[in-house]
Amino acid sequence: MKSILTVSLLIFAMQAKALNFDSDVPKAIQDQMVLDLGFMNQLTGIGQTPFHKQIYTEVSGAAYKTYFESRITDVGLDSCGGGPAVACVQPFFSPNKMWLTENFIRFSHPQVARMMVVYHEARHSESNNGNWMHDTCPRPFLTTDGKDMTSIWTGAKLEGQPACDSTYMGSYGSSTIMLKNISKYCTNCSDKVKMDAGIYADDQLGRIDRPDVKRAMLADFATN
Amino acid sequence: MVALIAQTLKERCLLTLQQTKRLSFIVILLGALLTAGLFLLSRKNSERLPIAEMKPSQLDLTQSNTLPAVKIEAQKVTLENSAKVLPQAEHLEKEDKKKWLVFEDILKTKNDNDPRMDRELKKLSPALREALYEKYESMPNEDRSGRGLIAYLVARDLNSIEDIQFIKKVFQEPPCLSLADCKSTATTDNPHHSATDQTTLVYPQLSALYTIEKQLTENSQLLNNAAYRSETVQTLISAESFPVPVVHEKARSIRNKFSL
Repeated sequence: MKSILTVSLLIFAMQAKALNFDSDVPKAIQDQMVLDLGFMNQLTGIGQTPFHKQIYTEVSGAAYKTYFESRITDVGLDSCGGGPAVACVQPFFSPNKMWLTENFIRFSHPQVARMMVVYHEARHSESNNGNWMHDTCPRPFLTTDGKDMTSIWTGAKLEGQPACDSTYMGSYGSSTIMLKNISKYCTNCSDKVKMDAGIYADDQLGRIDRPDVKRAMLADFATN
Repeated sequence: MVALIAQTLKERCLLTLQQTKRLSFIVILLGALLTAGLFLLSRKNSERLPIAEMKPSQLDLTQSNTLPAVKIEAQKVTLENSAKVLPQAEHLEKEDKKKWLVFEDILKTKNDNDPRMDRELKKLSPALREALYEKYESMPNEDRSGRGLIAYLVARDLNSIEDIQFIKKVFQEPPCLSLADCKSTATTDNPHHSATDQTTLVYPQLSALYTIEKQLTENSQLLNNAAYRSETVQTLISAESFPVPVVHEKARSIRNKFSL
């Protein structure tokens, strides 16, 4: 029995491969990505919401690691269309590859925000689920107090943009659910990580454009 | 004759293996090695088509195929910043100096889940707080996460007029207009992740507000102290004047929640 266990662990260790970085990904970006994923991989938690169980199975580093590594195996460097983009995937060409931009370390996002973007993009790699393509934000797309959802400084409206989700299973929905659960159930997170997870979950929730889905998510977060 | 020798050898080998009870182990080990070999071989053979090696920007024919040069500007900023002499930090006493190094390490590694954050960076001394105010001012405005970390550390244990004044200043600073340059608005938006970017732009302010809310939730008796109550109200009023909706809405919601 002991020998079987030893051999099983050997096989598991050999198959538990690390991310493959392209040679042109700067070391500083590789190091930050490895450190950030290491942060996710060591999380522990007690409890979770039903939606979280459905998507991630549990609040634990092992579950988040499996989730990520079963979707993304390779990492490259690109501008991802330019602007403030941090990461992207091109699932039709290379579904298991994520592209990071220099903004990954150039811009000063908190760790939770970096990981939220990375997990959001990993969700898009699911070719068997139509890559969870985003929904087109409705016209008009209004805030709770009846104002247009716009970019604060450029004033660009979100209505008509492919930047919403009509399901909790999509990239915005799944990353909101992950963050809400980390905020609520993580047992080895610093107070700051829990706070940040709550802050960034709130902003992602704003991209759910179906009121009934949003209500269902809020009910899910309220479960114990 | 040869067949007889071979048969004898085979029988002896089998007998030896049975005696040492290692047959099952060797079979499993050989199986594992075979699996590992096939796995490695399949990895080597699964070379991608040339199209898959192209980068997203190269696949977009409407844009240039030239990749932008990679500049690790954030690192430069950090290096320049760390070279600055901060008088308050320079003069910290032994224990505070140790804590300061922990803070600097967390800032440098960007590891927000460093357990030392909650273990060693609570109940900070006035001198250490002075050093944090000074550090905040010396940081580039674009270092939103770093500034937010300092706002968080100060706000989670507000215990002096100086702390309150510092937090008020966080709400009085000009809003950061873009992650690349706080002084100018970005020419383009990325609607896909613009919510995240916009949250990071006001991260120091939100960090302070969420922390104050948590503190009031967990220690509502703080509001029994008239001076504390008054300063908190003043701070939230400052936050309500911050020209970004998510900030002043959060400040208003805290005032409503605690009837301030």
